[in-house]
Amino acid sequence: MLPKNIQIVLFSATFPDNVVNYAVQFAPGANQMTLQHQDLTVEGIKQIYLDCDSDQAKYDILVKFYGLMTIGSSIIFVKVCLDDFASMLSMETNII
Amino acid sequence: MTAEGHKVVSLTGGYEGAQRDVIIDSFRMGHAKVLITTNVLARGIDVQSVSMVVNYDVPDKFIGHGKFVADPQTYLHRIGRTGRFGRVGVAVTFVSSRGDWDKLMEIRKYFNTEMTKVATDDWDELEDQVTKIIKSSRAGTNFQDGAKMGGMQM
Repeated sequence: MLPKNIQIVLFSATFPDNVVNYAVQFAPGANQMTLQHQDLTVEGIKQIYLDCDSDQAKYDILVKFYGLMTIGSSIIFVKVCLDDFASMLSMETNII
Repeated sequence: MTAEGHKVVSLTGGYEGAQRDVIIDSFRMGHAKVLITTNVLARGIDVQSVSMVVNYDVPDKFIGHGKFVADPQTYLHRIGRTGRFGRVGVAVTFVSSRGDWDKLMEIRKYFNTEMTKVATDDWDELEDQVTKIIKSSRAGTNFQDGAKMGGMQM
């Protein structure tokens, strides 16, 4: 067991209700500070979306978009089948 | 993308341990500028130089019976990989169907946030628009350079 005098602090950007409920059981009487989900996004992150005609058009648009912008480091999130995606991009899937 | 001169690495749940660390380090140190990944990295990874996050697919989750619904939590964690500690960042989401659009609008509503549509049929305009958006985000942030310097500089 943990010593009684230690302090535990838990953080998350997104606590769904079931986790909040679990936290109450796990640590009854703990102090909580929560934000409404309407207040979670930060102004420093500008959110845009690109309208693409089809799934197939997305890749061309992606490449064009990268050609256009001088971008520092970036992360591209894809849903599944990363290997398919990778081979579609015919790129190195390994370490540079 | 490699053919276009981008230095790309990718990381999936299939990699583990040391191999995974090597890939992340290569990205963290800037040897690779583009990291392609799945939700394995949506949460937790902190690379401060990330200035853009691309959602090649709108984040959704399976709720059974072949149905997928919008996944605002994953969206938030993904876009939060940029704009670390008051830096500015851009989050770009690709929408290619009515279903994608519905999901994204649901996410927008959930966070009561602003999302700007950028058309892809006129690239000159797209460039202008995106450049403007990035500049305005710099102006709109609460953490401008002065603030980073402890407010010593206006």
